[in-house]
Amino acid sequence: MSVVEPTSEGAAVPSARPSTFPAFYEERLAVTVRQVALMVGSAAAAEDIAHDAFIEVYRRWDELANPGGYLYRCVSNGALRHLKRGNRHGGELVDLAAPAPSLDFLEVVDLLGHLTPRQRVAVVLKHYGDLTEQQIADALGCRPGSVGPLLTRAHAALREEWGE
Amino acid sequence: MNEQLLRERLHAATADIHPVPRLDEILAAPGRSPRRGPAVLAIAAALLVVAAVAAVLALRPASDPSVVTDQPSTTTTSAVVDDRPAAGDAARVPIELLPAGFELIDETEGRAEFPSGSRTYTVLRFAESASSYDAGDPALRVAVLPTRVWVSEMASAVAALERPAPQPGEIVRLDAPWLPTGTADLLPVDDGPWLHYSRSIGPDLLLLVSGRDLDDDTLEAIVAQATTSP
Repeated sequence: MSVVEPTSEGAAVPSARPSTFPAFYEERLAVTVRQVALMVGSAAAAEDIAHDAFIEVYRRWDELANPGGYLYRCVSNGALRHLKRGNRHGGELVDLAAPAPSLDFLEVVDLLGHLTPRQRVAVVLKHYGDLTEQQIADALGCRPGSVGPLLTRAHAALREEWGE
Repeated sequence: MNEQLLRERLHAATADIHPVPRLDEILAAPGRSPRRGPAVLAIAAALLVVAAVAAVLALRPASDPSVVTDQPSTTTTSAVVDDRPAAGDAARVPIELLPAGFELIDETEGRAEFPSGSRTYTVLRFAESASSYDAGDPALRVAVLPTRVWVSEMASAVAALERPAPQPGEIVRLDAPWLPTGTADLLPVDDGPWLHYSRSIGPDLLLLVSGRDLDDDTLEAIVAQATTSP
């Protein structure tokens, strides 16, 4: 699995660019953490990954015409790195201070756990973030043409697990 | 597969995730790209003119070693980044999250010979101001934060806790009184376990020790020095 460095702007931002970073942060924090939580299966890890991504966006705030796209790229890379580490060692940090995840969350995470890291990130970007295939390609740093097959394989795997 | 149902499940599953805002930490992160506005360009042009005039008149050398700054620099960050596989990100986190208004007091790079070979280490000292540090301000808060340390190099710390290094896949939470949170996780990563604490940033962080190949004896000495400083 390759991990793309966030060297350029990625997917388009779903809404207009907020005028200030604090406004952007306030608007995007919850949805970003939730998306990353689905990607990595841990709300605590998601907060860290999202936090690091927001720092990257803040550093380049004045240069970015599309901070939302760049944020997607940063969190996607962070999630892929996290999944890569987790897959290699089979371990996951447990945040003892964090509230217990809901049953819904655990079930969905279990379902998404049958996907490869890139499939998992792509599915979340597609079905939670409502990103287009072009935007997903930008976030993953891949060709747009490869997103369709990636999602098709992911959907097939989900369908199998879902028992359809 | 019903994509609409999948979408609804994804949203419902995360509806009760409410992250705690940490905007202050982000705004305090150094290294932000400067605005490239007309004012900056004007200042840059003016500096060029001044430098040219100074060179022509030989008023002073262009790189006067007496000119010092106590502001954090990007080179400081790079000095503590560990370049081992999959290890770079969290190592940067502490410096980036230093509270606003804190200054880099000094940076010490050391190199020592140990039985296992030549080791390097870096000590970064931060305080609310250089003057408060120099004056030995009794209110100066000091903490030491080993960013990433090989567990093999933390052998004494682990032994003190009477437990072995973690097996692959095993997560062990340790008491780490030098961390703001008081605990650290021994997290196996790649070709060896790291001491991992990426969420342990607190407002009392003043001194940061980053150990690339940091020997445990050296770390202990640094910790002792840091925790007994004013």
